[in-house]
Amino acid sequence: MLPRVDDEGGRVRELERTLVERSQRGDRVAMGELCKMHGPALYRSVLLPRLGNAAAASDALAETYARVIEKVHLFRWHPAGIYPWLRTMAMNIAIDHLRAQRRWSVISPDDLERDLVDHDAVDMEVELLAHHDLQEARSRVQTGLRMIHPRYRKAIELRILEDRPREEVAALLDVSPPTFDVLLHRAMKALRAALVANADGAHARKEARR
Amino acid sequence: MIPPQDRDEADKRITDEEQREAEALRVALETGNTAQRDANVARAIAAAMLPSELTEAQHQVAFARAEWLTAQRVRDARKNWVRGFVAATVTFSTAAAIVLLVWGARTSKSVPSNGFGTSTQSLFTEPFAQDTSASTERLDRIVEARSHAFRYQRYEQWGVR
Repeated sequence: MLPRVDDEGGRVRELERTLVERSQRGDRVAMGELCKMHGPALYRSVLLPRLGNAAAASDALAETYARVIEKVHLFRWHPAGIYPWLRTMAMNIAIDHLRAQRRWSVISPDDLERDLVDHDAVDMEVELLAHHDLQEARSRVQTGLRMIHPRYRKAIELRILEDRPREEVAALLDVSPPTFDVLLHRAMKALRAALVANADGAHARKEARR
Repeated sequence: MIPPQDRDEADKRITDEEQREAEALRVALETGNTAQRDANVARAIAAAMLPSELTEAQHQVAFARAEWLTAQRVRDARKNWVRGFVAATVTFSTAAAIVLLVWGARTSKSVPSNGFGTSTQSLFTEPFAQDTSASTERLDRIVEARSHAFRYQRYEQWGVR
């Protein structure tokens, strides 16, 4: 008989608890296993969508692991497991990276900090939390894309999100490749402005609700 | 060169500056140049919409780097501790040396309290005759008193009293 999902979840949580306890006693192998268990979700859902490039996300992941190694003894076991604790740590590291690098990001460090303070995610399951984090970044981009000219949106979707060749996209949009370059440049400029306006609007709405 | 039919894209005339920026974006997207702002925005939105998975190799590299970072911080903390200890020791030693110097100087300068004054009034209860024959006796008495005081102070300093 196949194990029920709840049984499987319980076993995973028990394994996680054992790894946490062993890590707290200084077991390096257990620490590696613990990081391996949650690293992919931290990278894909928290760090990469917020930092915007693989190199910065990898750096932030290494820093997150380092802080886990240093501070795991401070963690007190919670029924939701260690992931919410790791996520908060990763979010704070992402905020520090964005502020230090002063690079453009889909979600500004100030917004990230506000979200971190506003949303108490400590009781959410790993999958739900990861989904929530992914969706948060995606919805920002989708809202921005809806705000720009349809032709600009198409250019970005085809060339940037679907990663199709420049010449192919130019042909699909019925322009020459050099014209497509200008079209894409304008599209990026419009999207950037839309995302900033959207972020400012969202912040103003939040402030008004308070 | 942009064909004339394409030049009114989105009802705007294409300026030379736009053409330059568009070319820079194209090059940055094709070469992976991270200095171009719009190319970074493009990568950021792609990462937000379709983030890639963490590979096993990436995890291993990140974990190895984390261990190195942790070891480095422990070394730095130890170095700082040693530096702090040395600084505290030097400060304490300097302070102790100053205290000893001041205390030593005071001790060497200080005259033990021995009850001897510098006035000669107490040596003479009766008035001396105003002739010169009394001078020797008067001086003898002063010399005797000063010698006594000198010996007393010396014995006090030597600690033999």
